[in-house]
Order: sequence, then structure tokens, then C-alpha cells
Amino acid sequence: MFQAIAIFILLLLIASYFIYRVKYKKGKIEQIYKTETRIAQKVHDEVANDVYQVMIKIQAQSNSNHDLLDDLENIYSKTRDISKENSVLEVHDNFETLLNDLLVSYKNDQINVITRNLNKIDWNKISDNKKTAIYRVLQELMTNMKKHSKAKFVVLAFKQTYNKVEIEYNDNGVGCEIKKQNGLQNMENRINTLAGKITFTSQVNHGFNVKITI
Amino acid sequence: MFKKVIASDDLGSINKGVFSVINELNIADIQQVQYCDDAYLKIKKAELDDDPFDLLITDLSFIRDYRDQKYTSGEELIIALKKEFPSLKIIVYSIEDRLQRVRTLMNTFNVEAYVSKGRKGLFELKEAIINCAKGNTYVSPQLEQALNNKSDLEIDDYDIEIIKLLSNGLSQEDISLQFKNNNTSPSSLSTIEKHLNKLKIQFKANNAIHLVAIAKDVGLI
Repeated sequence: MFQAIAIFILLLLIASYFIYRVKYKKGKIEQIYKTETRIAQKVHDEVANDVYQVMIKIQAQSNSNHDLLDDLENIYSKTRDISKENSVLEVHDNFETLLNDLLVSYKNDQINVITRNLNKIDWNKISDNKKTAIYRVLQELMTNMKKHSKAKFVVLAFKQTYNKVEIEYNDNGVGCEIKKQNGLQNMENRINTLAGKITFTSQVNHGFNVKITI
Repeated sequence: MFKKVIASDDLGSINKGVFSVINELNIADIQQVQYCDDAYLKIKKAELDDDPFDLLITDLSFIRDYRDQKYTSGEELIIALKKEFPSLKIIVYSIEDRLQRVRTLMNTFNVEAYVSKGRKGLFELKEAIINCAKGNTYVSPQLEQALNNKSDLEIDDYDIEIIKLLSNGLSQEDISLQFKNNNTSPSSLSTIEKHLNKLKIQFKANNAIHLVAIAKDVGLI
């Protein structure tokens, strides 16, 4: 009898420990998200707007200095990028459109972006936290691609099994040696916190490959 | 051309830029406000006085200060104005460049133009005003993709199958035949041709060989 009660209490303790851990993790993710978006909004509304004002002021002068304007424009777009990388994401509805918009924005005359089976994914089965992580990771991958890879083609293949999504990223750029520095570590953290998996494979001159399961 | 314009933006010096564009276009009556509520009241009053504004140029984000506002964002102002004064034309002039918001403002709230504040912002604003005066819509070139068809990026398993068979040396006719034998639908030659042409455009490939080479390069086959 006592043994049964003891086992029961023990099980209860273990169960509540796990429930507590999941809740704690979830709360932490939401906290990080809130902080990031608040700062992003400030950068956007205050810094970017101020830089823009200065740009306009200089432009209004008859003999405006073009080098200076180029530099300012550079700062302006950097501030906007920082803010965009952390801004509020409304992932609950229309996630497919949101993702498509993100990917389209990296497409230009030099870089071609292709998605495979993106429109076959039922995003209603995927939690908002996961969607946010997917968006941020793809955003980071695409930004890295644009900055460093010299790729002409990027392909993102999507696959769904129940409430899990698999995403495979491939580009035909210059590749690199994989070093887990800020960017990659950051992506790994985002995915691992949600019990997902992410692997990076690359070789110099043989493109860049990423597999995500979440 | 427009005769009476109102510009709403919480930063005075940006409006100065807008002001110079309006002057270049020889529009005599331009008024500036720094709060959405003021914009609404002025527009309403002008309407009552039978001397309405015909164009509003507005930002989207307004920093909150000590004054309590009924309309705290450009978006809220736009929704109210479009409902009450449908003939008033509206140009959004904002730092915001998220495509989804551009699309919503253009397609759902029916603003006439969307101009992105940037180095060429004032030049584009001028283009936007000229276009709106003619009854057209305008979106800054770097945001035009907001209104594009979204299927542009997408390929599916059917497309991959076609490329795979091409890489195995099959002609379009062979592929059509193989699809028929495997009960893969659609299998008509014209459909396969259509898909192939779409793929060539998507991959910027000059011919089928080029297409196969690229697909291999990026690990699709």
C-alpha cells in the first residue's frame, strides 16, 4: 500500500517536473521574442527615421555630397535590416504568403530562388513558435547567402509529415568551411529549443546545404 | 493635377521634402499636419466647407507622445477616410517595406500609391503624384513584387519528374508516353511543353540541357 502511494507520488513529481520544464521553455521563448520585437520597433521608428531625415536634409542642399549620401544610405538600409530581422511576425494566419514574401525579396537579376512543394504544407498543423523559428532561420540563411555565397540559385524544398516540417536548403554558391559561429549557432539554438534538428553541410566551392526538421 | 493636398507625418523635416516635391508640381495649396487626428479633422472640415482636399500623403507610423489620439496609425486613418471620403486619393509614404503590409494597403484598403522612403523616395513620390492625378496606381519599384503572382517561385514533384526524365535522355514525346503508361496525369505533350517552358523561365535556362545542369547543380535531381 505504502509502496503504491510512494510510486504514485514519485510519478506525480516526475510528471510535474516535465510540465514545468516545457512551460518554462515556452515562457522563455516568448520573453525573447517580446524583447527582440520591442527593440526592433525602436530601431525602426527612431534610428532609421532619424537617419532618413539627415539624408533628406543633405539632399535638399544644392551641392549635396554624394559620397556622404551613399554612406548614409548604407547605414539607413543596415538599420532597416536589423529591425526587419527582429520585427513583429504575424505567423498565425497566411504563413505561406509571409514566407513567400520573405523568399521573393531575395530574388533579383543575379539570384534565383525556387521553392519546392511550399504550397503543399498545411501550416495550421504547425505551432506558432515553430513557424516563427522557421521564418527566422530561413531569413538568416538567405541573408548569409546574399552576403557571402555568390550563389546564383537557391532551392528550398518542403515536406510535411503530420505536425513536423522538413526543409532542405541548397545553393550553388562558393560554400565554406563550417564553423559554428554566431549565425549558425543562433539558428541551431532556435531550432533546438523547439526540439528540432538542424544540420549544415558545405565544402569550399560546392555550395551550402542545410537540413531542418522541426 | 491636384489642387489641394494634405501631408501627414510626425517629422517636420520629412514633410519639408514632400513640400519641395509639391512645389515642383506647381500645386499651390499644401497643408501639413503631424498627427493623424489633425489630418482627419482638417479633411472633414474642408469637406464641410465645400472645399475638399483631393490628395493625402501619409506616413504609417507615428510616435506616441503626450497627446491622446483617436487614430494612432496611418492605417487607422486610411480606413476611416476611405470609408467616409471615397473620392479622396491617398499616397502612403513610409519606411515600412514589408510586402504583406504593402499588399494589404493597396489591395484591401485601396490606397492609390505606396512610396518607400529611401534615397530615391522623393523622386518616386513625384512619380506617384503624377500617376495618381491621371487615375493610375503606383508602387515604388523595389516593392512591386508585393503585387506579383506568388506562384512564381514554386515548383512541385511533377516538375521534378519531368526534369529527371529529361536527364535520363527522354524527349518530350517520350516523357508524354511514359506518363501515359504510368497513369501519371496530365500526360499530354502540350502540358509537358507548358511545364517545361515555365521551368526554363524560372531557372533562367536557355534550353533543356541547361535546365538539367542547373537542377543537378542545386541538388533537385
